[in-house]
This record gives sequence, structure tokens and C-alpha cells, in this order.
Amino acid sequence: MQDITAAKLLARVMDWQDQDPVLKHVAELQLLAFFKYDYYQRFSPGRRFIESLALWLKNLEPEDRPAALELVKEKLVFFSDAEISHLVDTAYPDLIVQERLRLVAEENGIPTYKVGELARHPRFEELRLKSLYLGLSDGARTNELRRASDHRINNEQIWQAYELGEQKSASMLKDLKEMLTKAGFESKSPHFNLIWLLDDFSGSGNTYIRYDSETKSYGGKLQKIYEQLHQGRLIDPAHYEVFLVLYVATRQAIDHIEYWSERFTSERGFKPLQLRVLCKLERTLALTAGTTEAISDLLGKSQYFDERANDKHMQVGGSDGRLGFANCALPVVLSHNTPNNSVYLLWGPERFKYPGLFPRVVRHRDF
Amino acid sequence: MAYNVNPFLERRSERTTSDQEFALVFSPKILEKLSDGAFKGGVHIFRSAPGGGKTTILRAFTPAVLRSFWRAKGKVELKESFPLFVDRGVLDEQEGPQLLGVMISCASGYADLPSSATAIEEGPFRALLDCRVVLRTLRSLAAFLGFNSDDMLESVQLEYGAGAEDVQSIPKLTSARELASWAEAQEKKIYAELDAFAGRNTQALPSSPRFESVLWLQSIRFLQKGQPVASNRLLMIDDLQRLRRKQRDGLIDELTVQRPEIPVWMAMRTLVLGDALLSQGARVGRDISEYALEDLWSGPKGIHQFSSFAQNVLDRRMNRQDTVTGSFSQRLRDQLEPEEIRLYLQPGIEAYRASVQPHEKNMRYSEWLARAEKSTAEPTLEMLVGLFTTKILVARDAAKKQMSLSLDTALPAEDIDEKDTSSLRGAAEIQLHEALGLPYYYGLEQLCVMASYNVEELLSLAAVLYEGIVASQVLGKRSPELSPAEQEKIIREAADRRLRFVPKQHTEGTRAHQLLVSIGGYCRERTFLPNAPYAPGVTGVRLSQSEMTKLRGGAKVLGEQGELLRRVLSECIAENLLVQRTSSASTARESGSILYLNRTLCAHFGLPLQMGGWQDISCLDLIDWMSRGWKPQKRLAMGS
Repeated sequence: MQDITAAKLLARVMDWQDQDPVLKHVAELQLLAFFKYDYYQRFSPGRRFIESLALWLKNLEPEDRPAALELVKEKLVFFSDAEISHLVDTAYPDLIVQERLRLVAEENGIPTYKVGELARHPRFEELRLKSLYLGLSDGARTNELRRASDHRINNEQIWQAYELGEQKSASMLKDLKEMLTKAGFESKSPHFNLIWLLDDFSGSGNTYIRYDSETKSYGGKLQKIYEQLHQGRLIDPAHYEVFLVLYVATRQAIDHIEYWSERFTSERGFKPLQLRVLCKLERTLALTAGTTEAISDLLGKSQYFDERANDKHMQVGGSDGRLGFANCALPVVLSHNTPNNSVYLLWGPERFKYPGLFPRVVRHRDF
Repeated sequence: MAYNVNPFLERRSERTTSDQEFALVFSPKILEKLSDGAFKGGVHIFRSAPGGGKTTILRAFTPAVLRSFWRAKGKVELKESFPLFVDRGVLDEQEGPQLLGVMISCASGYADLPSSATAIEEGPFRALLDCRVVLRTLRSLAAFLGFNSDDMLESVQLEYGAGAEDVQSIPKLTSARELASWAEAQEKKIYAELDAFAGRNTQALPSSPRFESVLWLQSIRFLQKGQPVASNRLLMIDDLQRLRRKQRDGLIDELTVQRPEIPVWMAMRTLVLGDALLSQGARVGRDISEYALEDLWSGPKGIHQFSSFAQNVLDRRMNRQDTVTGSFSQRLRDQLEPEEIRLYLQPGIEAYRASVQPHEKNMRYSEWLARAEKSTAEPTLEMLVGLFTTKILVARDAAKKQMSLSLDTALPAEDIDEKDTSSLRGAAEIQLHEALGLPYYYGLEQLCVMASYNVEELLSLAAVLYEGIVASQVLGKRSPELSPAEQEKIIREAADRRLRFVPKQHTEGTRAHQLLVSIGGYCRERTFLPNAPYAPGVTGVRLSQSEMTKLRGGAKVLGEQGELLRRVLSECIAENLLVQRTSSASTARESGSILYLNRTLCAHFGLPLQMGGWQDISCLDLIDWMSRGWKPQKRLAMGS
């Protein structure tokens, strides 16, 4: 749809009669659309942001539309593809390398400001080779991280999934041995020392670790990874570190992961998890805190929800999903998909009643 | 992919666009205003506030842009300008560009050179400028000859004429390619020293005892296949204000003294209040010429010529978008429609009656008032203007201390026609605007006036009006034009933003803002006196010559605050927030400088747009306004 036609549609839906609201909103929305929102990857083919916004607003009652527009203009946080890529690009030099320097400093008693000395230390190179990188979802962008490392991470140190088969593990260890030998580090039975777990976003932290109080058991990706690492030969159980690197995470997720992973690892006798987040979303971002009355009223309306969204996967978070998984109430959209921790009005799937402005493709679908 | 929703928002197009695009958006009409003298040998300085069009003029004379003009010679836009290019020897109808324009910018690098107190250490600056002129000349020559790469300079030989023997610091190589390599190496050498991490070795910096590149440029001959090419040259040095003061003064001084045979154009921002350009013994007009771009339009037909230029600029921008059809001026309605006027008729008549009510029984005005009353039957804008003209004339007459002897004789109604001048009409119009909110700031002509002869200001206003035009289209309005009321609302909001932005934009922003608001308030007070004594209104303040002398004395004469005022005023003038005009002496007063408010700011203060009305004030007044703000005097409070 042409920009002007989409804007006309929006004006009609919003019932704008004079120039002021058009001047106030349209140019800004078009600018945002151009720079970010048009590139949401789950829009239907040919559809762009402004017409999606108009159709989304049309589904709401006329009196709720100004609040919905305010939500989009004032509260929405959209991570574009370029922004996430930027975070991935900074992860290696600004985080991974720094952690290695810190470890070398601690092991050898060298002050951390002696960066040159630390970087020249053989242990720094050894740790580089003994690092294993595992993606926790397709948002981990392991390919981008590898390229951003400028060949400091080789193909056999990185894998896009965290479940490694026997064959893959053996191949990685074989390559590790070769690399170590080539670099002059003698090792008969080499293991990885640093495990880097990578993911793009966490809203509640439940996907990584959760505790079922009825069965008194832990669930989530971290539990599976720790068990797999200890069952296999990839690490030396006496000497390893596990880092979870999240490109974006909420404070709620950080607190949850830190608390439950601490309990989990200490109960099981594993090395504690070290969580590193590149972009932290503080609690003030949630739409339950410090928002306007109009937006609160809009989010409080029960009609703008489809009960089908409240499935067993949503219930794991302990809420029905109106305010997002685990009541996170986020206004966050990622360019490739909207997290379900955001409010339903933003992520509701296209086939549901009241589809979201940035409809989500659900990970689990019950056919 | 570029974001180009509003084509009027693009700034500094002279730098950001390709040569072809530049030729499309550039309006050559401004070149018609350049005098023939500017193409003669000597130093010519172009000055204006930012956005006045300095770089645009300079870039128009670079080889690639000239070639684009030549290719577009058949187009309507160039119909008037093309013969001027031909007459001045810049273009030839058959052969194409005839002038080798060499443009260099002072925007980067020069101010990074080590500062010094002695003339010897100014050498690196001269050496850098010389090698850049050489390099830029050879690159321009490549563009002039249509070469695809600098390597093709191999085919150009160099010969040196009389005068070249004085050139010491530029090697007399015979190959253009080799000379370009020398200049590149020289530049690299200077930058290697500047970038040296462990401190600079000033001994290793290339150095020149004087600027020799102009001598070189005027004495060198370029030969291609044995034939001389590009014999006419023009050296253009842009962004002179980016140099350090000492560098700038030295450059202008030395080049002026050299009396170049080729034209040397230098562009810089407006300098004010005592920043003299001339070296000892140099004379304006003979050795050095100055052109204030704003003044190019200041002749009797200036505004019409600027309007024509502005329309050209705006239409070229309009052509770069496809959302709105038609020309820009077609989208701005310049007349009020009868139903719009009708809204103001009754309130206007009532306001008029209320103001003349004290004189109702006065025999002296009976005919004037009767005529005005009679006219109220006619529902037109003219009628309203007539009523307010009568209102002003009655107030003027009543305010005269020495009344006519025949108090009981009615003034004839025809007197009004005699007194009805254009300035009085202007006063009535602005009073109608003030009293009733009748639109005043609308139409293309007013838009051009509000731009204060500055292209950037014109584009800023056009950008917001364009958004309004698009908004009308979004709303699906029946009329494709912006009504006068819509235009005024948009323009006044833009003017408010402009003023609000002043504190952020200037080094002394808060003081500048306070001073401008004070001048605006003072002008309003003087403009809206019932008898409109300075019709159509006051839009500026004047400092007499003796006050200007005090101001130039700065801290010595007026103390710290005086120096501060000098800085604030300089900055306001340089940024076009205040427009400086000289006022000549008369029998009753000495000469001086008038500081008019920027015309866009006049829209913020609700003042008329004509330049003319001003009031004499002192530096102490301005210091007081700048630091404490202007307060209306009770006896003159607005609306009284």
C-alpha cells in the first residue's frame, strides 16, 4: 500500500478531522516505520507497518484507539535486526574477551589493568581454544558471533544448538586436540574449560530454568545442558565455567535465572552459572509500572484477548497471557518475532481474535 | 535507501548530493545576481549567515556541475541563466564548460595545525593549503577534461609562464600525474606529523614562506596533445570561518597583497562588530570585494527577485517527491475566501465601534465615522481594513496635542483616502490580525519575506508547510490547498520552535533568547499603540554610531556586560536571528546600525513583516534586556 493511502486509512480509523493530529502523528509514525517497524518479519507479504497499525486500531473500540496509539508511540520498544546484530557484534570483544582476561588475571595474579601482559599470556590463548559456544535458540545468531570474532572462534568451537550428539562431541574434542597441539599446548585428553551459552532474549527466565514445587524438580534448558555436559566428555568436571550470554533480558528474567540457577547448581554440585546480559531491560519498562491511566485501562479490558492464547504453555508462566507470559507486561518487539512476554495486544497471533500489532508465530502449536 | 519523505528537509544538498542531483535542485537564478566584477581578478569574499547559499554558489562553478548545466541548456529553468553563463565566459554553447573552477574547503585539517605566534611557524598552514590547491586543481582538471580517473592525467603536460619563477615551494614538474603524486605525498607528510602519537616534530613539517598556490594557478599552462586547455581559472575557498582567526586573517591579507590575476572567491559566515578584513593599504573595490548574499536581494525589486528564486528552489524540491502533485505555490492559497472573511466581520465591526465610541459625539469625526459605518454593509476584507484605518486615523488625530482651531468642523471624509498609505494599510492589517486573529502570515510572497533571504530558512518553513499539505491530503480534504489560517498556524508553530531552539543552538543561547524576546516585546509595544505611530510597525532597534562605538569598545567601555552583549549580538547576527542594516545620517540624527528581528521571528511575535519601523535604543538598554528581560512600561501597556 502506498504511504499516503496507508496514512489516509489511519486517519479514517482514528477519525481525525483536522490537521493537528495528522501533523502530530503521521510523520513520526512514517519515520519509525521507515527505520524499523516496516521490517517486522512476521507481517504478511506486502503489508507494512502503517496499514497494520490502522487495521489493528480498527479492531479496537473507537474510545480505546487513542490509548492504543499512545502505547505504540510512547511505550513500544522495538529491537530491529540491526540493533540485535550490533549487540552480537559487541559480545565477543566487549564481553567474552574481557571475561577471558579476567580469568587469566585471577589465575596468575596479574593486575587487570595490565591488558597487554594478560593478552600475551599463553593461558589467554589456551582459554580461547578451550571455549565452546552453544546457541540456545535460533535467535542466538551463532554465525554472526563467529564472524564478529574475526576468526578467533573457529567452526569446531561453535554449534547452533545445545543438544550435542555423541558424534558431534567427539568431532569437537578431536579438533580441540589438534588445535591445542598446533598452538603448542600439550594435552592427552583435552576438555573445554569455558562454555558460552548464547541467546537473544529472555523476558521471564522460565525457559532457562524453572522449579516445579509439586514434583520438586527442575526444568528448562539449563538443567538439560548441565546434565549433558557432565554426562559427556566435553568438560573436565573439576575445571569449567558456564556463562549464559543474553543479548537482551529483563530484570525479572535476570533475577529469576540468578536465583534458581544458584539453587539448582548448588543442590546438584555443579559449577555456578554466570549470567551476562548485554542490554538489560529494567522493571520500569513494564506496562504495569508508571504508565498512563488510558493505557492501563486499555490493557485491563478483558475483551481484547483470545482465550485460546491461554494454553498449557502459557500456564507454565502462572498467568493467562493478557499481560504476557508470567505477567511480564512488556512493550517489547523483536524484529523477527514478538516475545510472548509482551502484552497480548502486541503479540496476539493472526488467526486469533484481536491479532496483535506485531503478530507472533507461536513456538508451540496444538493442532 | 534514503529516507526522503519530506524533500524540503534535506539540508546542505550542496555537499550531500551527487553532481547530477545538485544540478537538478540548484536554482541558477542566484547567479543572475552576481556582478560581472566577481569574475575579474582579485579577492572576492562572499558572506552570509549559515544557509545563505555560499557553498551552493561555489559548487555551481565546479567542472562537473557546469557540465550538468551545459547538458541541461535546453530546459526552461535555464532559459534566463544560460546566456549569463555564456556572456561571462563560463560556458560555451557548443564546447561546454570554459572555466576551471577549483574548490577547496577549510572545514577540515587546517585548524588542527599547530598554532603559533611567529610568522615562520605559519609555514605548515601555507604548505598544506598550497598542496591541496595543487591537488584539487589537477582533480578538477581531470573532471573538466572528462577523465574517468586521475591516472588519465598522464596525457596532460605542464608548462610554466611568466610569474612561475617566483614559485619556490611547488616543484615545476612537467607531468600532471607526477605533480599530483607530489601533492598527495606532501599532504600525507603533513598529516603523518599531525597524527604522530609521540608528539610532533615541527622541524619535519613541510613549510612555506608564503601562499604560492595562487601564483602557481595563474601562471601554469595545461597542455593536452600540445594544445592549451582550461585557461580560465577560478579558485574558490569555502568555510573560511573554520580557520583560526590568525590563519584566516593571514590568508586574506597575503592573497589581497598578491593582487591575483585570477578571481579568488572566499566564502565565510557573516562577520560583525569590528572584525575588519582589510589589510593595511588595501582598498575595498580595488583589491578586495565583499558580497553579503542577503544584500544581493536588497534592491527595490529584491523581494520579487528573491520570490522568483525561492519559487524555483521550492519547485525543484517538489519535483523530487510524488505524494503531492502540482507546484508548491499552487498548494498555498494566498487569498481569504468570503466564508472565511465572514467569520471576522462582526467581531471586527464591534472592535472598531468600541474603539471609536469615545469619539462618537465628536463633531470633528462625524463624517469619517459615518462613512465607516456606511461601509459596514459590505461584507469584504477591504471593509474591515477600512474600519481599522479609520480607527487609527481617529486615534492619531485625537492624540495631537495642538488641535485645529475649528473643533466643531467635521473633517471631510475624503481626508481618509488622502491619508490611506500603504504603511497605514499595513498597520491596519497587522492590528486586524492582533485584535481578531485574521490570518496575516500566508501566501508564497509572505513565505519568502519570512525566509529573510536565506535559503535554509525558506526550506525550513517550506518543510513544515509541506507536512501540512500532506496532512490535508491524508484527511482527504476537498480543497487541495492549505488555507491561510492553516498556513499561519503552521508557520507560527515553526517560528515558536525556532525561538525555543535558540538556547540550545548558541554558546550564549539563554542570553540571546532573552534579548530576542525582549526586542520582540518592545517592538510589539511600539507597534500596537492605538495610533500606530510607526506604521506598519516596529520590527527592529537601532544603535546610533556612538552606541556602536561603545559596543565595539567592549569591556573597556561598557564593562564585562558590554563584552557579553557584543558576543551575543555578533552571534545573533551571524545566525540570522537579527538582520543588520545600516542607517544613514540625517539632519536630526547620526548614522547607525539597525538590528531587525529575523522575519520568521516576527511571525512569533505577531509583528508585521515589512522592514522599516525601528526605534533608537542604547547599549545599556540592550544589556538590561539581555540580563533581566524587557518589561512593558505601564503607560504603554499593550492594548491600552
